[in-house]
This record gives sequence, C-alpha cells and structure tokens, in this order.
Amino acid sequence: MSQIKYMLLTSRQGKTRLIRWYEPFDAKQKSKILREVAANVLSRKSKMCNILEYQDHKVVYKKYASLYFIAGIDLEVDNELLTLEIIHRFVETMDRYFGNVCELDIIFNFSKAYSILDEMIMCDGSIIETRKDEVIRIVEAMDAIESNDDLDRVLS
Amino acid sequence: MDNYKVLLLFPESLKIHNRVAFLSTVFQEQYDEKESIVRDVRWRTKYYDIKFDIYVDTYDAFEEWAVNFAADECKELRDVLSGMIFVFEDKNHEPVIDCIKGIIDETFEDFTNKFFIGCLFNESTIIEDDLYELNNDLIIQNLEIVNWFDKAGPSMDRVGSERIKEIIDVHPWPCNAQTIKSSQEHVDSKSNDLGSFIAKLEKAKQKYQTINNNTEAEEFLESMIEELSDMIV
Repeated sequence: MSQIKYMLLTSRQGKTRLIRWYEPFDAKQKSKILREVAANVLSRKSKMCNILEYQDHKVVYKKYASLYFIAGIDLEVDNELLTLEIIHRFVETMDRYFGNVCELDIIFNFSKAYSILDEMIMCDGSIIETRKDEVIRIVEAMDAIESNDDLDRVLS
Repeated sequence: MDNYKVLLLFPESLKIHNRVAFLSTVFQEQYDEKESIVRDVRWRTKYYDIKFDIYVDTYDAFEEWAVNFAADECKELRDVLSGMIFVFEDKNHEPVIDCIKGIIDETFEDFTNKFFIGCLFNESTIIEDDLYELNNDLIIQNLEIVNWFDKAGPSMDRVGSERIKEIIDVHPWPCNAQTIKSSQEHVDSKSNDLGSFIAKLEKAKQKYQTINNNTEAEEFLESMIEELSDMIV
C-alpha cells in the first residue's frame, strides 16, 4: 500500500505549479520542503538516480519535458518504483485529457490537473484509482456538470 | 493598453543574416535590420494572445553596454521591459553571464516579474550537465541560459529556439481577464463550442432585458433563436 506524503510539480525555472500535501505538515515545514526539495531535485544531473533521501523520508522524482514531478514517500512502507509508476500514470492521464500536456496547460487549467490527481490519490496519500479511462471519465463528467451549471445559470 | 516590451540584445559581431534568422525563428517575424524596434509582434499560444514590441540593440563590448544600461537615463526603459534576451557568441561564456547577473541584480528594482534569457549563439555549446548546474545557480535571477545550437535529445526537453519560446510562453504576462477567459475555452473542442454557446446566450439575455419595445424584443428573440439553433446544428 503506497502512502505518499506529498506531490509537487516544479518547473525547470524553479516555479511550483502544483502542490498536494497528504500528511499534516506545518507551514514552516511545508516551505522548507518546497524550498529544499525543489532545489535538490533541480540541481541533479540528468543521469543521476531519481530517488534520494531527504530528512526522514525519500523523494522520488521524474522529469517530463520542462516539469519535475516530485513525490515524498515513506522510507519503510513505500516502493520507489511503484511511486515512479504512479507519477507516470498521472502524466499519461493528463496527457490524454489535455492532448500532449505541457506546462502551459497546467498553468491555465490547474484545477483540472488537481482533479485528475485527486481521482488517483486519496487525501491520505493512498492510491485509489490507476485506470486512466476511469479517471478521464470522472473528470469529464465533472466538466459536463460544470457546463450544465453554467447553462442553468444563464437560462434561469 | 500599450504593448509589452522585450529587449533583444545582439553582439555587433553577429552577422545580419543570423540576427534575422534568430528573430524569424523565435518570433516568426520579418526583421528589417535598419529598424531598431519590431512593433506589434503577436505572441499566440493555446491560452492567450498578446502583442509586444521588440527593442533590438547591439553591443560591441558587453561590459560597456551594461554600464550604459545601468545609467539613470535608462531607468524608464528598464521599468517597462517585460523581458530581456541576451545573445552572445563568446566561447568563454562565464564573464558575460556574470555581467548579465550583475545587470539583473543591480539595475532592476524588481526583476521577479520579468524574464531573462541568455542565448549562447555558438556551435560549441555548453554541455548539458554544466548547463543544468549553471541554470540552477541562475534561478534566483529568473535567468536561463540556452544553447542556440543544441539538438533535441531523448529527454523530451525543449532546447534552442524552442526553449526560448517555451520560456516566453510560460511567462506570467499580466493578461486581461478577457484574454484568459476566452483562452480557457480552448481546452477541448466540445467545451469550446458549449462555452461560446453559453457566452452568446448570456449576452443575448442581457440585451433582451434592455429592450423596452415589445415588437423589437420579439424580433431580437427570433433572430437569436435562429442564430443559436444554427450553432447547435
């Protein structure tokens, strides 16, 4: 059972594009993790290992184009390769939803990116859905409800 | 609203055809080398559409140019710039990059909302790992060094002119709400159709409420029904 502590999405320029915390960190810890983990990951050379130890946990990251997908996982419980696979699933799902996802898609539709992530990882960091089709179906259903709400608002 | 301004700096030694090639590759814009301002350059992405003017300047000795740029007379120019692109050919790139860092640190009161790109226009490029390390040190200045002649590798990283375009794309241009709203309709064709349909319906509803004359209102209603049903079909 995977228990992710946090998921970050950082650009090559060091800008955070998405953050989801699955464990209660205080504000000071959060800013420390954001600063140090992003700096650590960005400074790593391309052929270096995608797993590193940080404080009391491990950091698993994968770079896709200009974006770094970073996950903090438990030292004992989690499997690093499984975490890499989850990251890859998340990217593939976004890729299918947006059609060749890029940084700009996430900047302008960050709520959709969060929705996709929330369909895959529960609030305690455990995986709830791995099927891309199912995630896309739910997110598109949410889009349809949102559009219907807009239509109702206009017609009322 | 005035256009945004971007300063593009070439070394005097860079041949005219290379300058033209740079401009046309990055900005898809024809450049007349006699002009120092390329006006109304349209920057269009999936999500927004803006216009900016490119101020083209050249330098003989970079340090000398930096001193002039740091002068009080250039303060207004510095304030209006949204970004700067420094092109340099020097194989020994360190002094130029240090100088660019100095310009950013010392002459801009607030550089956080501007982008800075250093472009090495030399076929002997900075190797990937060194470039990563270098760019990691330059994050604070919002400066990124790009090898113009880099070839795309298996990492899917955008390089060269494509990376320059990407940096400009993701720059937080202070777009007006209209641009962002209309751009969000691009997510997919379905939501695009529905989005424009709802927008049209909303406008029609507002206009209908302002018409006092009954006959006029009926006529307007009929024309709108026709238009909207055309959109659905």
